[in-house]
Parts: sequence; structure tokens; C-alpha cells
Amino acid sequence: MADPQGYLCIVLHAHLPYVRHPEYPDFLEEDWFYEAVTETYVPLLDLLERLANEKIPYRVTMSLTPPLCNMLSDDLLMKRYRARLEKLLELADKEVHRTKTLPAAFQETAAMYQEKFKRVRDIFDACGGRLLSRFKALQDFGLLEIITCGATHGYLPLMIHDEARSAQITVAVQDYQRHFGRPPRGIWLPECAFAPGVDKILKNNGITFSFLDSHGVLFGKPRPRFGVFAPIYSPGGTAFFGRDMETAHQVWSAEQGYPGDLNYREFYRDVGYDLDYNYIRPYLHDDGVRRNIGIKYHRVTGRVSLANKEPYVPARARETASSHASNFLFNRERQVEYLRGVMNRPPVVTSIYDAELFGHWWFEGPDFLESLLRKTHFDQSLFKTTHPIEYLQKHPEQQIVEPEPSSWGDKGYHEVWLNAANDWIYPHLHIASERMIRLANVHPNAEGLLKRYLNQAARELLLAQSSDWAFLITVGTARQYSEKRTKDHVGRFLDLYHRIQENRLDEGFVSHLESVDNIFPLIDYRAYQSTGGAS
Amino acid sequence: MTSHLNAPSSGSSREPSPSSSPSPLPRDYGVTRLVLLPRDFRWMHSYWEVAPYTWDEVKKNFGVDIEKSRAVLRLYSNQSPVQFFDVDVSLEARNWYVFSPQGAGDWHAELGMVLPDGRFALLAVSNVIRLPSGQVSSASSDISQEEKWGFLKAEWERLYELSGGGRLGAGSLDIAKMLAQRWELLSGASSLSGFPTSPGLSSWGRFPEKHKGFWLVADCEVIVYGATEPDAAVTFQDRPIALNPDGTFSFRFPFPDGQQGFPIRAVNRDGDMARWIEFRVSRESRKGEE
Repeated sequence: MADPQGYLCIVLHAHLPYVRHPEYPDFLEEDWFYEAVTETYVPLLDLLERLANEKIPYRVTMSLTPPLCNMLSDDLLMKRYRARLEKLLELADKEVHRTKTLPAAFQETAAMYQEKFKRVRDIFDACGGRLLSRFKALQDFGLLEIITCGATHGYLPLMIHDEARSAQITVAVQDYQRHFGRPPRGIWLPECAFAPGVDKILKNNGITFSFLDSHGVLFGKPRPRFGVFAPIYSPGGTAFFGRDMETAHQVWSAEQGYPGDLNYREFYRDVGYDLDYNYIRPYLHDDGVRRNIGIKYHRVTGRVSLANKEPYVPARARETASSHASNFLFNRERQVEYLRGVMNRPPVVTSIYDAELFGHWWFEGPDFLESLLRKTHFDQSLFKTTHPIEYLQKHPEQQIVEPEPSSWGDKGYHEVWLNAANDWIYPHLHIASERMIRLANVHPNAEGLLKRYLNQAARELLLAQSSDWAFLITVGTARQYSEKRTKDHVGRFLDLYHRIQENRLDEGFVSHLESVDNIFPLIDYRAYQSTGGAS
Repeated sequence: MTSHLNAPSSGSSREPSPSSSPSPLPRDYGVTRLVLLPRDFRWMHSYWEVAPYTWDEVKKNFGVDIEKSRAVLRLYSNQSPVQFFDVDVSLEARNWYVFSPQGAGDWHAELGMVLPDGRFALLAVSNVIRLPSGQVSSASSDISQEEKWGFLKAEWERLYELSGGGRLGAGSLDIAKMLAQRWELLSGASSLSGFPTSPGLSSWGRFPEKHKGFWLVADCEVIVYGATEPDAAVTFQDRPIALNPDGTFSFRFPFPDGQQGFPIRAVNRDGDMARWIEFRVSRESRKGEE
């Protein structure tokens, strides 16, 4: 086959903050994870495996962030998840009976949920809950490129210590090795946020490529010759692929993008609110408050109130997803044709999405993606999907451009994570970072209990740094919880720090924290050492 | 990560045990420090702590004159020659958002007291940050770049536009808005239900008119800031506002033409003492072509 005229690089960013509360039998924020497993992670895995079985040579890049990998391999969370799934299936079975007397659309939808949840259970049970091993297999086949992220999705441009930035990357790389048996080649920078010097840290950790929002490349110095349609090399030695806004918008925009189609499932109309309280009560949390459960019977319909939404018709929604895939394909062909005419090399269009958009928010997103990958293979030969590394191997010579400091947040820079609502966080994070670095330098070869204290201090600092907390405070969702998480982890860090400084090393204290904040079982606090040894 | 938005409320669905409520974080760490952070291509954020040992030293060096001094944040643009500007600050605010008309480049700051005779009593020096440029790199600023790009200029313009940047200085939000308009155009042409469109109506033939000629955009916003007891109840324009844990507050908002009053009122925890401050600000915009 002739070489393609261009490439499509699909990147899915899968991330959730580390939320795990063994101290409570039932915790609301753990739902984020359980919902995402059922609605996004397993459906994506399922479609990628199905295409692999059909020998369709797709290329997809996906970040599975360290917090997510740690949650997906945590016994407690996976056990709780399995129990939740069983309850959901129980409800889905009841729904099939309940809808028997309702119009056909409701019956079909109820049957669809029953089938989907069963499918999730089959996949989950077949690998004993070790979902990461199945993602790894797809990577080993060369179809999926799994990339890492900051250890806890820490916002690098707002860290003022190189050691703190570096530890986010080093800990992530070590953790990746534990799950995937080899070092990562690429990284999704937390919030796509770049600051000068980050590229050098990536290179020191063996990472070859990453991504930037469009303006991170377009506003680079000097001006990038091919816009966002070819990667750039930063002076620090990392390849950066710039985000294509056309494809971003086609999928992202709630109003004009695909997910707003009238045939698609309406997210906000849920049985958790609709059905008789006594019927739904066993599937709510202990407090009995009505919340979304994940079974929804209505479609977007149009600009009408939730009460006037029309019934969802699964077959029609699937057809719509397929026609949207055709449209996406058609537009990429035109885009590639055009770009190829003005570039002296095949363009690469980098399409970046939050993975949780697919399945969770945009229920038909996985159908769209599967259809798109199938059609890309069977229906045209103009472009192919590619991995960043594959593209770089074919086209190793690229322009050297210094990226613009940037992020993919609102307004393009750091304001989402630094504003009047959340700027109080940083004085604490910075002092904790400074103290962690000092501890690591003063104790270069700790053993025994001291080492456990130092490792736990590193865990607490990393958990406090999750950009999720600052983000959630800004958007006002789960604000209280996010403030509490920030204060808890900084507070625990300071406690550990004082005990180390005063040589009050009580085993019970660290042992409790190790069981509560158990992320990164193999962490090595020396990730915080300054280069060149003790300060 | 978007799933959060589905979270209707927070925490355990049971009453939390008393031990789980976080202890308040320290207000002071006993160290003198000044930190500068980049927010975007025009704004920097700084925060500081001035420990007693620093005050002792300054008083020793400058004597009683320090009582009559004013606090400033001195922002240095690390260019050659070095330039700086001062912003009067309230030390008690402990943090400040600083606007820099110049933006792009490396910056650092000094916190200090300006004495009546003009001497500068240094309290703390910050880290160095780089502000983004917020715009496409200017080829003319670098001869080698211009030569390199000369023959590619036309090609660059098209690629840049396709990349979503049809407007100089546009942030990603602006770019997103611009693309939204473009997508509207596109969806109007192809209608979401009737895919695929005929090739003649592809998105690639339908770009909005490119900006031509000289241009200028500007706007101004208002920043209000202050501090009170952390447990006080504060209202701004009669609406309650949330205080930071240390009792400070600040917010920024767009400011249309006309006169506006900004009353701020604080009531202590017991509800028996109140203080208020009101600002009256007016704005009048004019524009034209010459």
C-alpha cells in the first residue's frame, strides 16, 4: 500500500484523583472511579480488544495516570467496585421486568443496560479484576500506546522547586514500570501545562514525547513552520505534538459538537431521580439522598425541559454515532488533503480528549470511536492513525521550537489553578516541598522506620499536589472535599516532618497513614534529592 | 477528568468521625519568603511571609524611619537593561496579583519598604518566573528567524490559520470561540443529520474573513482586595463573599462603562462589631481611528 498522505493521532487522557477511604464503608467521591470503570474504562478496553481481535491495525494513545493505575490495582477499591457492579446488575435485571409494560423504546434501553453491565462483569471477572493487564496486552501488541502523567497530576508550572517537579515525573515513571513492565515513552503533562525546564526533566527521565495545547506550539519561538501539524522538538529535547482545535471542537463542544445530537442519551435524566423512592432506595448511598445511578431512559431531544425529554432509542443512537464517525472521517480526509498540499511532509492531526468524555458524558462515545477506527481502516487510504513514536521514527527531522508556557485550561494559562479561590494552597505546598527536599538531602540512605516516615512524607506531599483539588475549588464542585484533601495531606506531611525532625518515630502513626494514603507502594523518597547530593 | 461534575455532594454519606476533620494549617511558617508565580501573559501572583527576624534586622539597619515607610513589591523584568516597576502593597494582605503591561519574559520580585528619603529596605527576594508571550512569535525581532521564515511566510499564514489561530494574541478560549463560530458555519452548511456533506461544502473552503490591517484591543478590569479577621462575615455589594483561611480576600471582574459603587462590609463573629469601606469608581471608554 502506498504511504498515507497524513496521520491522525488520537490521544485519550484518562485520569481521576486518588480517592480511597478505607475509614468509611461508603464514600461518595469514590463513585467517580466506579462510574468511570463501568462507563468509560471497560467499554474503551472492550472496543480496543474487539478491533484487535478483528486484526484492525489501529493506533491509539492513552494516558493512564498514576493515581488511576493505583486505584485500578487497589484490592479494596476493586472489591468495592465489584460489589457496586453487582448491585447495578441487580437493578438492571429489575428494570427489564419493570419496563415490560412500557413502550418498546424503554424495553430496548433496559435490555441494553442489562447487556452492557453483564459485559462489563464478564470482562472484569475474566481477568480477575486486573484490568491494567489487559490494557498492557494491547500495548504489547503495538496497538495502544500507554503514556504516563505526573505522579499525582501535580500542576508543574506552579511548583517552584525543580526537585518537586522532577519527583512528580520520577515517581510516575517508576510506578509505570511496575504496571506495564517497561518505562513509558511518552507523558501527558498534568493539565497539558508546560513551563520552561519541564522538558529537560522529561528527557532526564527517558521520556521522548508529550503534548501541548495549540497555543503552546503556535506561540512558540521561533514560529513553528508547520503550525500544530508536525511535532516540534523543545530545546530541552522533548518532542511535543500540538492539539488540533478543529477535531477538538467537533467532539468537545456541548452545543455544536457531536455529543449534543438530539438522538444521544441525555445525561441529566436519571432513574436515581425518576423512579419511586422505595424502589430505588437500595441503590442509593447510605444517606438515602437521590443521586445519579447511571441508568437513563431519555435522549437529548432538543431544548426542552428534563420533564419533556423523549425516550431513548438505542438503535437510532448507534446509527447516529456511526454517521458522526463518517463525518469525522470525511473532514479528516479533506483536512489531510489540504495540509498535504502546503507541507513538504505528511501532516499529523493530533486529537486530544478526556477519556471520561467517552461513555460517561457522551454515552455513545465508545461507539463513535470504534466506528471511526473501523472506517479509517476499511473506508479510505488517505490517512492512517499513528502513535507519536511511530510518526517520529518515520519523520525524525523536526523543527526546534521553544514552547509557550501554557495549559489546556480556560484562557489557556494557569488561572484555573491560581485564582482568589485557591491561591491559599500554594504557600503550604511550597513549604512542604522545600522541607521534603531538605529531608531527602539530609537523609540520603535512610533505612527502617525512618525510611517509612520519609516515604510516607513523600506520598502526602504528592497527594496534596494533585491539580484536581485546585481545579475543583475553582469550578465549585466538591469544593469542601477538595479543600479538606489539601489540608489533610499538608497537615499529615507537616506532622511527619516534625516527628522526623524531633526524632519521635512512632510506628503506629506511620503505619496508620500508610494504610490510609497507600498510593505508590514502592515509592522511594530519594526522588526528592537535589542533584549533586546534600544541600 | 470531567467525571467530577456528576458528584452531587461531598464526603461520606455518614457523619464523619471527629478525628477526620482537618486541623487548620499554620498561618505562618516562621520563615521570610517571597514567591512569584505566573498566572498568564499579563498577570503574576505573589505571596509572602516576613518573619520577626527580618523585621529586627531592618529596624536595626534603618532605625525609626522604617515606621514612616510604605511597602512595595518591586517587579524586575530580567532583560538587558534591567527594568523594574513598583506596586504599593499592603503587607497584611500577604499576597498580591500584579498586572504587567509588558508581560512576556523572565521576572522576579523584591518585597521591601520605601523610606521617606527614597531608600529601599529589602525584606525578601523572589524566585524567577517566565511569563508566556500570549502571541505568535514576532519574526522581525530576530533577523535569523526572519531569514529562515521569509520564503515560508505565505505558507505559515495558512497553517497558522488552520491551526486555529486566525487572530494574533488570541488565548485558547478565544480560539475556541472562534472555532465555535466556524463550526456553527460548518454545521449550518452540512446539517448534523445529513452527513456526509458534498465535497464542495467541506470545512476547508469556509474560513471566516481574515483580520486585515492594523488593530488594537484593550479592556480594563477591577481588582478588589483586603483582609479582616478570618471568622468575620464579609459582604461585597451586599452579597456574601468567602474569605481565604487567613482572612484575606481578593477578586477581579470586568468593569463596564459608568459609575459603580463597591461597598465592602465586615461583621465580626459575635455580630456586634462592623466595619465598612466603599469605593466609587467610574469608567468611560472612547475609541477611534486616525
